[in-house]
Amino acid sequence: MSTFKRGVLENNPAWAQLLGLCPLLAVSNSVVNALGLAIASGFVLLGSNLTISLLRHRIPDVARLPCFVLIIATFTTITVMILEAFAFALYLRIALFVQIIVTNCMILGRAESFASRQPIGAAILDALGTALGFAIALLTLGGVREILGYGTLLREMDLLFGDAASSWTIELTNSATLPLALFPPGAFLLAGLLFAIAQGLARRKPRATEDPNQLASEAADRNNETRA
Amino acid sequence: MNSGALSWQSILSLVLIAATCGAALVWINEITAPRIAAQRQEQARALMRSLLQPRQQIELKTVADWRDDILSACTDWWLIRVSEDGYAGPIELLAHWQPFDANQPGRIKLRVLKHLETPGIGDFIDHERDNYLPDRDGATVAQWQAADALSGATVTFNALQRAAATVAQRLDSETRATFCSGKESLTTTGAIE
Repeated sequence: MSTFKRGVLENNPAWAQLLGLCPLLAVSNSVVNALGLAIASGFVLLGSNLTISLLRHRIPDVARLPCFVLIIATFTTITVMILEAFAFALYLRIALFVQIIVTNCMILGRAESFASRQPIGAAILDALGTALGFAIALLTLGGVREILGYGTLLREMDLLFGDAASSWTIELTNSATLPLALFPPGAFLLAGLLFAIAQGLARRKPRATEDPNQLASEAADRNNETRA
Repeated sequence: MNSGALSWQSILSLVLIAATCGAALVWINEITAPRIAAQRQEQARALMRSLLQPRQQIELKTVADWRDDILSACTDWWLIRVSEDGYAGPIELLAHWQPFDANQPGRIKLRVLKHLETPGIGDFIDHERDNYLPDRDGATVAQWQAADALSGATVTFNALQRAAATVAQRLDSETRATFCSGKESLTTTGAIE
């Protein structure tokens, strides 16, 4: 489970590794767009990690990167076709950023550094953790931008969940508090602030097992107690 | 992973992986293609309805199908599908052409059906994102040709200019006569610039 947890928190692709920022900033102007991209990225990540782990003994080392890109491109194209067929309105909005998932460093990075060296179970857990971490970053940024930019939350969810979801919109304010939040400069500013908050929270409680200084200090304490 | 130079087993593995990926794509395409085509048709229909007035929409129902990318009831409106090369690929457009009388040039409304232009730069042509095209509804070909190019999106803008010119060229009097042969023309014929 530590593999899963690492992908969500400590190695979060967005706020810890700053990967996949182009689609993150471009698409996260509403929760529905962010959720659409999160699902698409998660599907590609899970599919490519699973396939690459499954084929890790068959993929020639000298041609591993073209193989990874081929597999990732296949899953990306499948995602685009499914999105176009079943969520056409959302596809029209975020299609370009779904298509460029193929070049997302987050996915290629997990394929190269983890899935190609680990068994299937670990690769799936890693993909789920990384996808959830990316989704949390996307949805947090999408939620904040939507609240500030539109004054609502969960608007236009019918694009993803059908007509029944059109009533899910929560009106928070009568007008937009900060329209800048909907534009790229606003996305940069808010993403920077959110990532700083996330980093700050992560550093407040470092894991004892991963902090060498603390480990040494704890060992010294234990020695002192033993002597006493 | 297999290390070292590419052996015949490695090449076979590569071919098998590529073939599996290709087969998966073909299979998914077969499942999704009919639904995607239906979605595209519905999008085009909605766009057509938005371009036509209520009377013209009623006339639209009497028209069987597109003929050589032209659709009309041979009255006072014409719908033409055109495709022009944009910055990142072809831009598919739907044009509404409305001639008024012989002394006035026809007026054009353009809408984009499909494009691959850069978000934030060339996607101003998408009427869902920007009012650039709706604001130019009713412009003549001459007005399109005289319009100022857009800095940073010249290639995209040029594609729109070419599309407007193409519409006028496609709908010359001969084409209209051929298209409407056997039908009784209901209105005046407009002059093509």
